[in-house]
Amino acid sequence: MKILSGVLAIALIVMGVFLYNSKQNEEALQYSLRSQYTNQISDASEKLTELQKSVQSATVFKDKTAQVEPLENIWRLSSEIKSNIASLPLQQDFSNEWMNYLGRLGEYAKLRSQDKVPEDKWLKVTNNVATNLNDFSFEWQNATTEMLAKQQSFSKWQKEIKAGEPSKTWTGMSETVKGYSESDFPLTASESDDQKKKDLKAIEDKPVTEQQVVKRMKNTFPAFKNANLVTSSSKPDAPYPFYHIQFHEGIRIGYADYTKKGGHLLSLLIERPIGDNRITQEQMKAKAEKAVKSYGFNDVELVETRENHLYWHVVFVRLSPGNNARIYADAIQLKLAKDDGEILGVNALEYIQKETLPDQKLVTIDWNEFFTDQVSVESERLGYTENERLQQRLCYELMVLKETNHGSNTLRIMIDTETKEVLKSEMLN
Amino acid sequence: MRKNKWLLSMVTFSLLVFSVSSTHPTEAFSAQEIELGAFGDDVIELQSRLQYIGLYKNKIDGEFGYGTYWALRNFQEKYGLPVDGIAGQATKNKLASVAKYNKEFVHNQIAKGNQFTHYGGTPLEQQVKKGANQGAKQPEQTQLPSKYSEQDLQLMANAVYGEARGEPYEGQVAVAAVILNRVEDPQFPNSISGVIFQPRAFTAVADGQIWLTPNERAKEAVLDALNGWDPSENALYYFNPVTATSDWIWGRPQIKTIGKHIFCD
Repeated sequence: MKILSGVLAIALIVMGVFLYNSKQNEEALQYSLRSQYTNQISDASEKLTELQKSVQSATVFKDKTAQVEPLENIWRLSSEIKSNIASLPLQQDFSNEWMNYLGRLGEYAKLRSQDKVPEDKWLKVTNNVATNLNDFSFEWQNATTEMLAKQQSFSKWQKEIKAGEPSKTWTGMSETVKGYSESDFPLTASESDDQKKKDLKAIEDKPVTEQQVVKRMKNTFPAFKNANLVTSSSKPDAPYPFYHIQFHEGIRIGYADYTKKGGHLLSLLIERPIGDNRITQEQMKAKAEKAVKSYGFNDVELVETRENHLYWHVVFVRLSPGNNARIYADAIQLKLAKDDGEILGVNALEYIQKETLPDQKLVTIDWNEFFTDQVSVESERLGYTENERLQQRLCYELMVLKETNHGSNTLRIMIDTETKEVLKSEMLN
Repeated sequence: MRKNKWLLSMVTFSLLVFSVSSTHPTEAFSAQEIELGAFGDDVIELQSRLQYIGLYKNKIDGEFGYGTYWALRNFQEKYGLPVDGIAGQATKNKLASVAKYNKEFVHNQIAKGNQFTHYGGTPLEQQVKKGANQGAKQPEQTQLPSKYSEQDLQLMANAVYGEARGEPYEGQVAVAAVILNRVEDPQFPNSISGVIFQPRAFTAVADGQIWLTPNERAKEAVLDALNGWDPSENALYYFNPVTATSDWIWGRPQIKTIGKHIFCD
């Protein structure tokens, strides 16, 4: 009995020490988090004050050289505050709206620094922003002071956040910032167009029935003629309505989504085990080319292939009928099995709606003048890409090679054929 | 008679040599043509041989990228072959005849994760770089769209495995696509790590499940999402209706259900 009591006493002591240590560790972690969050909040507050000053300065100077610094500051500070906000456990709605606003403000300052926003428009917007930031700054100071005070009881604060019950302060601030975004940075026409494209809301084709879509799927992918299918509709709130078909045929299981308007294939993916055989790259390309034609995508060109452990991923883009330029925004991706080249995936979401292409001049550019002696232009063709205002622009698409004693780097550079602006510079593997 | 025998044996020998050389044009490489986008042992051999004669200066990694492409074109031009950047039979034969390849050395260095080169005229042991990372096992290389890195793939695979490992494949691709949709959306951080580690954004980060080792299926799902697939149809959020405690998430416009997750705008 004595021995048992002794063992129990020791066990209790050990447990007590363990619990004490755990509690100490938890407290240490809480202190560490508290310091980190306090630091981020203070940092964001300081930067907000700096941002206010920079916005005011940017409305003062007419001289372009004098404008450079405040514009750069706006761009930098908005990005840094965004980063502070992202690392704080704030109310989701508020974080989203505030980061959205800061992102738009930073981009606007960048566009102004590139002379892409006229002065009168810039002044009008920044005057609004300056007023809104002053008001917001006051609310932010109040809310964060309250928040820091709540950290006295860290667990209480955590519970409040996890419970998802929004506090009135933050909900109010979220609404306020949302209002600023709508008034200061309304979506431009081109952004709205882009959003429409992304949402596929703008399709004007006639609606198709579920049976028609299933028939279409079986015709396009005859391997699934006898598959077990389960078809459902998108939820009523979905931005664009679609049919969702899940299928199962032997070792293959997959899904296909089709738009309700027009019955366009959005995407398809199939999962199945991959065998040990390997087809050649040439055979794979031939199968991919044949497949896109059989799906009715006749105006595309294969532009990229990527081999990995079990699959090939290939990219096709639409060619502009007039000038044969590649329209990168109208792309189709295929996924092929490496054992026999079976098509295991099709993604045609971007291809469904054709991009609106501008009529554009082709200005001759001397590449020897344009680039340094360290690089050589290896190929030149035409392609479309979007500019910062999300408009499609015709570009000279150049493959530029820079060779040194230690290796070579290849860049794909897109230069506007009319304005000579470099719209994209991408380092290729 | 002896003369005839000699002639017969010569003809037989010639036929044998011809048949061997026609079925196995070169002992090097496999029979397939390789070009931009290819990956694997043939590309390792191609890069090594091109480096042996000083035409390829980049890393020998088995990925047929543009560095390999320009080096191959230079080789074809130098040796009077059709310049197309494709390693066909004639190109491979010529390359095998002018450049050596120490397969054992190259594969050993790759397996050990060493930095090395394979230039001709320099002893191989002098071509292994002694550095801090010497011997560090390299993760398996994957060919990704140029705007993504191997680190992005790894981080997303961890997130997908932590968040959706019991879900159907489509559901795993959809979770990966949600991460990418957030990166593109101005309301969220503009990097993959920023989105994943945004406080309270993902349960797997909060409960530490993100640090579990992801399986191949999760990696494949991420690879499909990075290549453009989005079964979520542009969703920014998802939740499990059985475990969700926030009223806010129920208020989001819903798009579709995959497995146990509802995807929302």
